Amino acid sequence: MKWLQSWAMKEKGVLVGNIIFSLFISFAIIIQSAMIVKVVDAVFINKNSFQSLLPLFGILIGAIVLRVLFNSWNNYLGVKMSMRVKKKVRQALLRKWEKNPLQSSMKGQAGSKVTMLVEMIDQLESFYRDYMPQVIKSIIVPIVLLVAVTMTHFYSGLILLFTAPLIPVAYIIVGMQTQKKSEKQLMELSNFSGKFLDLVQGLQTLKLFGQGKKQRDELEKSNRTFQKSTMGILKVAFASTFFIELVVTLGIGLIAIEIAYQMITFETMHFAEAFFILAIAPEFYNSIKDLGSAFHTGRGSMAAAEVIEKELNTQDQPVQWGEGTLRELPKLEIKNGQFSYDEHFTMKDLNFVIEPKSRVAIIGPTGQGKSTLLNILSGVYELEQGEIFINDKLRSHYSQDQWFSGMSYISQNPYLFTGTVAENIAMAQGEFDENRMAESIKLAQLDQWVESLPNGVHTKIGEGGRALSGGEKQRVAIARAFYKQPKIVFFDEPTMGLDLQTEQLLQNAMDAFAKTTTMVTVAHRLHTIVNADQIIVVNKGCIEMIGTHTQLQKESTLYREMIGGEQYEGTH
Amino acid sequence: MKELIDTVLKERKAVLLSIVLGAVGGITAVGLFAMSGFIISEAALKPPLYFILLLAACLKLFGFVKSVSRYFERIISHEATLTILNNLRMNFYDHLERLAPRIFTKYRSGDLLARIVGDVETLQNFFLRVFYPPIVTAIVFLTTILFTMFYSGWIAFVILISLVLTTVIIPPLLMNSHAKVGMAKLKKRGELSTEATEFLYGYRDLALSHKLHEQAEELMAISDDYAEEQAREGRMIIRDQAINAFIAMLTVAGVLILGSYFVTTGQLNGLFLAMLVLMTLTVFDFAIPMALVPTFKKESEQAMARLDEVVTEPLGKESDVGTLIKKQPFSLAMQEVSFNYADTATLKDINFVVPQGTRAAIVGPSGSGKSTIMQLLLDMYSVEKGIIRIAGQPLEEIKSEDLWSKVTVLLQQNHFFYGTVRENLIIAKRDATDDELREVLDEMELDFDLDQHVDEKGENFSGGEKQRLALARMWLKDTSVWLLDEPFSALDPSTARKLHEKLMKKTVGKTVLLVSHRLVGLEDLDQILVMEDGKLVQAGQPEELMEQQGLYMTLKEIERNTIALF
Repeated sequence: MKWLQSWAMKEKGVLVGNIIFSLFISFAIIIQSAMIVKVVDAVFINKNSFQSLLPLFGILIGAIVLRVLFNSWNNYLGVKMSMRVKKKVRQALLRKWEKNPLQSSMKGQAGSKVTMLVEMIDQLESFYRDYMPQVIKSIIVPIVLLVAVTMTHFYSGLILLFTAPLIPVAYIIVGMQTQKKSEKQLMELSNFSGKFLDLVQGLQTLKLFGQGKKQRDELEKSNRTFQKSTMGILKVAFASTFFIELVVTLGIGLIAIEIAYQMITFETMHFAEAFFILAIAPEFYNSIKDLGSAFHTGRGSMAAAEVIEKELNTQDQPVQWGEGTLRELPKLEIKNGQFSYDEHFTMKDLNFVIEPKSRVAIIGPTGQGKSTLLNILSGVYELEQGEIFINDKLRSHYSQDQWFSGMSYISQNPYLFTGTVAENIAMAQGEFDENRMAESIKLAQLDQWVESLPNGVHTKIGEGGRALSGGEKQRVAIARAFYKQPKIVFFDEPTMGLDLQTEQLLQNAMDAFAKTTTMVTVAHRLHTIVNADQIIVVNKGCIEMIGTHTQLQKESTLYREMIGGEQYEGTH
Repeated sequence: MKELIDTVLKERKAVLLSIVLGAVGGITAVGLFAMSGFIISEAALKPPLYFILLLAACLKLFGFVKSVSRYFERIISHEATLTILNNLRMNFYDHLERLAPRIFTKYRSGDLLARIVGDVETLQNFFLRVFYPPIVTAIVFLTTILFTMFYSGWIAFVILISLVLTTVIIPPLLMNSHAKVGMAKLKKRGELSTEATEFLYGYRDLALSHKLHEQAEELMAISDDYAEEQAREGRMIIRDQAINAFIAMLTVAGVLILGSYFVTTGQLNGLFLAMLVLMTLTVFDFAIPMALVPTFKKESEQAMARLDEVVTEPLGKESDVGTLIKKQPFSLAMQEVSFNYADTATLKDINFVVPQGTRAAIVGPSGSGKSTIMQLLLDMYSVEKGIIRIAGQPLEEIKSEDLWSKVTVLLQQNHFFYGTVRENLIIAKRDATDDELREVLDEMELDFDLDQHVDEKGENFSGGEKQRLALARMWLKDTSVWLLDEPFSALDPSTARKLHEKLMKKTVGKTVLLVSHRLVGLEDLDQILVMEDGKLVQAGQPEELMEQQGLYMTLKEIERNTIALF
């Protein structure tokens, strides 16, 4: 709530506008009612001529026009404020994601982040569009009307003053009752959604085990529970509306009787005053009532606000960079490095050197830190303790741009952007170089594939474009790396058996890169391992051994076992 | 649309009650204000006080009746709506169940979820705002107009005219401009979420080619455009409300002008003027929401169309009709089978027989069509050309449910449900005892407690654990025919070897078809089928294949070179 309001407070102009328009609306209501009363009074009691009423009609129509206009403008302001806040919150979120270190950006699912950016921020809308202007209106209009009634007739004013608080009280009681229930309802909705997704994805498994019927019943049950809790909330809300309507009827009824006494028994009140009070009273109660419905719509924003606020407030540790330039091939050195992913997994005692132009293979069992080590070395993750040196200077000495423009990172599942093949390979690196492009495509053995495409290198790929197989994606990523002509290449070798062509390419690419650059590979292929100048065996977050293939094979039974013992010996 | 109306009409009683209660509530509300106008005028003529008190008591009664009938109208209509939505949801799910897994090549599960939750939710407006409120409004207005005619035909005519204006003429005019702005907004919104998805998925690659800032700026521009479009729509809604509110207020002014004119000419008793004015003021409260009826109707239609799109997919073969499989274990065969469907790999002229009681493996590079063969044998898709034979019978004559109950299947994607290890195991064997379950867990070298919690999709387990848990289900089901798709792909080499041996022991004398991209350990099988690019390129005993200079040899070669095991 505070967070939502703090954004509104930045829109002072809009808030002042709301106050002014609400005042004008109140005046328009009073004038409109007064004119109606005057006309009826004139013809009914005073028997005036029709001609004498014409100016009154003019004022009445004027008041109507102004009331509608002020009301619209007041609402326009709400729309404006919600638009501005949404823009600003989205910007804040995007800035945050842009500045985030990669390690936290890659955490969590992209899907839920997109939901946050699009749907959740949209949910803030009702708070600024409906709730805020209504709050202001619901404070100002009743006060002005109350003053008008009290000035006309003191006791009627008193009745309004004492019955009005019953309405907010009813809302507060309902609010307290429904809050828990609506939390429960939200939970049940998410249970239903969860159950549904779970079932839909497991449908094939269920069919094969003949369990479809039973699970369907459970889904139906979950659906019914959701229905029931929704109804529970609605019942409370309807009961409160019922109560409030009774309060309003009671209030107006009291006023009517009191006025009747005044008019008939005491003869202290005239028709015009009585009619005026009776015309204003419903307007008075309605404007308070409207606050309640606005409050319900505003409530939806609060849950969303909480999630967004939390995301904006999380602190991350970014990778430190400086301004230094990097010209030579880098020599990487890591000293006493430590890194923990979460509570469960820590890498420690990382100590080794990667010489320029050397080939390094990182091997080890799944989930024991190979990819994490690659991310640490490539500048995606920051160490918690220890240092990384590039050419004997701390990594934080160099500029981020310098480092990233001098390296390539080929992941297991490279991402292709919506765009042409050429755009995906060049990735806007300086000026487009056609020769270099052709060369890269050839080195990545993509030339035949590119020729088979309808528009060659200008064929659209990525989302909404042509779908690529895993092997093709891999090759585009390798072409991307060739085009970049990096000083160092980080390569997460695919674990799956790929098509023969890609397998062959992986070998060729390794050899081609090794001629000019440093290669750090998370390796799954014997070719890569055997040809490495240095093999780093990672296990349980530690470096188990470092050495060359011949060394390790001689000295370590564990290594022999790891790279597939008998199967390997069979071929050599 | 007709279908939607039919679904609604199933709740006939609720529909009728909602209309009656709505009308009573509406008429008493209008009556309430008319009466208070009358009382105040009457009071000005100084009647005896008891007369006024009597009228005031009536007023109270009206107020009470109004509130009570409103209360029940709301309860009944919402209850009916929720029941309707519930039925729609389950109906949708039932269709999905029959369409699985074919449907998943066409719709992502998130999309389906959006339909079952979001679109169904949108449909709640259909009953609550489109279906019965116009009827209620019509009744309330007709009653009011009839009542007014009793005093002045002209005033009744004015009310009728503006009723027609606000409910019949203006809303459809406004709807078109809404539709245009709405489309523009949706387009921007789609753009924002696609671009945001790309930004997040491609984050690392963007960061590494330092395009992050540029892309973020672009996203912000789209986000701004989207907010502008939303604001445009918001302003349009306000404008429409203003137009209708303006007409309603002008009508009140019109009634006042006409009424006062008739009073001065003596055609109308001044006593009733306040009554008519207040009545008009109230009755238009009912007309204003009508302006949005066409918009809600359109929205409901669109939501229904999206649901229909899935619901009207051709269902294919019913899974519970057909003949039963008589022999056990049975043979599996394909004759000249070709297949080509959306995301699955294509198959061309596949011919093979796995005779009953023999064991075969399908090998080949990824994407060559191995898994598609499995899916086809399980009757998950229907083939375009050729015949699949199960125990010699054409598959299309066989009852799918019977086939599924007689094969033990391990898919590449094995689903685990949110719950416990026990719940996830006993779906394979309903009556299994805890001891039995523990035994298979031991067999799989899984140190799990039966009550151990399983997250959605088994996300709290590693790939290897999930695979072994799936294998444990196979061990429990244990029919005479086994189909396994890459059963050991997520296991470390020594566990894979051990389990492979256990599998070989377990399946002696059974019909087995094993899909594998690894060749190690397949020497004991009776037959190996080698796939490449959707074609069966080699088939025979392992020793025979080793002698041929073919793909099998090459694959063996690559395998020696790849340690894809860790």
